[in-house]
Amino acid sequence: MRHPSTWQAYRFIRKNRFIKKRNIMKMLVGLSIDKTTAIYSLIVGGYVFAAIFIFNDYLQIFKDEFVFIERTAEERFWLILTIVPLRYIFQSFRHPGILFTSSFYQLGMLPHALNKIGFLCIAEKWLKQLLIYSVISAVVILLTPLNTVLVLTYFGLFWCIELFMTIPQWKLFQANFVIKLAILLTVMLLNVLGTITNQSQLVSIIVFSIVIISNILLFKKMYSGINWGRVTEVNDYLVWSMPMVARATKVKFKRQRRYNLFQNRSSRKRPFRYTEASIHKRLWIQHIRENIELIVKVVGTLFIALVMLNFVHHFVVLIGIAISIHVYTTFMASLFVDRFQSGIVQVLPWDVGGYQKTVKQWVFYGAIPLLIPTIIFAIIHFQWWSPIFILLVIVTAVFNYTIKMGNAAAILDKKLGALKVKDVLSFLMLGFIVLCEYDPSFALISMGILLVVIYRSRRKHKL
Amino acid sequence: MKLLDVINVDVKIKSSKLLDNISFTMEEGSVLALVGHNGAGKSTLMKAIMGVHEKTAGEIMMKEKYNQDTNFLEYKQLIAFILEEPLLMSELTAMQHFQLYGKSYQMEEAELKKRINRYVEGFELQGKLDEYPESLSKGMRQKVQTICAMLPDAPLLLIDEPFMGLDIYAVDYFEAILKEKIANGTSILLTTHQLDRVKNIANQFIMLQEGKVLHSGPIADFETIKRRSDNQ
Repeated sequence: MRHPSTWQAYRFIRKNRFIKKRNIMKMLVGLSIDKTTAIYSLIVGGYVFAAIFIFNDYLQIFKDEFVFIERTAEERFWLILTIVPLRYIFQSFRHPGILFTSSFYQLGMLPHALNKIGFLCIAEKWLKQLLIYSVISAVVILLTPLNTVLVLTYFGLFWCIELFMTIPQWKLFQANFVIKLAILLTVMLLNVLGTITNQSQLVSIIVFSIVIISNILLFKKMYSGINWGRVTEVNDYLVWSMPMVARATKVKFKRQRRYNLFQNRSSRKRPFRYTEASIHKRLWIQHIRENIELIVKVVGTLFIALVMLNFVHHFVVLIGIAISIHVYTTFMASLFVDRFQSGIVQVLPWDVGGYQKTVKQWVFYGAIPLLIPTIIFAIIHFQWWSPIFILLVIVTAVFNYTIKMGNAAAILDKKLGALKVKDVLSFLMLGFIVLCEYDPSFALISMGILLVVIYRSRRKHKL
Repeated sequence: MKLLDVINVDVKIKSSKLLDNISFTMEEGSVLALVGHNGAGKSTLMKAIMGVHEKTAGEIMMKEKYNQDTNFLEYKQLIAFILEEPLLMSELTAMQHFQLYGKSYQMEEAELKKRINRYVEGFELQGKLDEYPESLSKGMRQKVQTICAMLPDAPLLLIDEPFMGLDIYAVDYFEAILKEKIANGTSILLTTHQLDRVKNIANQFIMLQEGKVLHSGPIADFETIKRRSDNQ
């Protein structure tokens, strides 16, 4: 009996996926970039590259940094070896690590073995990673004075970890949340212990041995007990979610959410209290869950930036705070508008005012990680002026948020017009934060604004 | 009084026109059937009226004063929509969907409960109210979606393939509710392949072909036009 070639079927699907994606990208490029813009962008890009890497003696400028990187890389080799697997354990919470899409799963319904298809998916992943690491290491070797052997050792090591963590990540993805968390915390704890006791080498040998043993044990059971629905759902999303295309076409590829741990709780099945707060809360939680990665990235980046800028200069921190307020409020307003762009809410009437009220608490929770480094900075830097400065930051954030949410409401009502005085004012207020570096009394402007707001709201109530 | 005005509406994607210069009017309490082959533009027109699909030209007005381009929030409040494929959220049970619809159309809780009880009994969905969409069959999901749209008293009801996925008893029940709604002044714009089924409900028709209005008129004229087109 002749068996069909799984490789050919796999290649056929991959080829067509590539063609489809290429066509989509072509359409996107045709829609958003014209030839003249493309040529100018290339020239600017080339000039920037030349300015940084050719005309500038950056090797001399960053000489100390390169020496520092090389020394750290040599000293911390064993620690890095145990830290990198953490990445895959962390990823296993959301990604199975093997790009087994619904198309490949359907191929398994035909006379093709799932393990053969899986093997091809894994082989493709490994080859792709090898190519990426080779290119990156070549660039690093060519453009930096870092030791070639060290660079090759590191990238070789990264690739080997990629190889050995594929099966553990795949199986961990299937595991219970508690198990994943326990493993993650254990490896983290081992790393901390290794660093404190100066036994990173021993810890890395233990961790790596466990990884290899788990590979041997799990290899035979790789395709048993797999929740294929979840695997294909996540992978389809990863393959077809193209943020640039979604932005250009305003069509979002959404993940088909299925049951989760909390959904089966009987309390979640109970009818809502018939209030906006109760109904909207569920909608916001669902929206936040759908965008959690983006939210964590934005808030996390702003948080890290606010912390790191403290090591640069006070003035830069103030600029950082102003930019953070602008970015965070703009991001929240765009996330708010996005709630109405898809799913059932899109076809329902929108009580925008009601939704604005119910989203406030979530916006506040998201702002806490930004508020903490700001408050600490204010206390250290401004001392007695710090309460007034914090008030200025809060007033500016609330003002910016209110203006941007007003604009968001106008977008939803298709009424957004030209730039208004309020928009300019909200931008100017950000400037007062920066000016506090020269004279903290600029923060007093917040008191003035607060008084105006209180006076106007009282007058409104009277009317 | 005019309820819906669709004036010279175009929907384009790049150079291909999905809808080309569509114009028609609906009076209060009227029922208009959109007919045409697959890909004729029926669903696109529905989505353009709903505001889900952005039009590239033309105007759509409700009650002669709520323009889709300038009073979108008020405009939306006047329309309820049943899609061909049930659009339900995995995070909400059937009952929670009804509550979301009730709140969105600002219905009183007592009235909402009364209507839910009535429709749930009529569509035989008792015992399924606390279930998530995934644990309902496709037909049941369609029933949930149908009840959602039937709950409010929106002046215009858009229904894409009204009887798709419903069993024969549910179809009869749904037809009865639609007639009751029409008697109370609700206008309905529906797309269908089963014109026989909606002939007793609709009083006007529009036949679409490749995004253009091919024929329109009283529903009684439809058979003559169809026969003539078939012979050509």
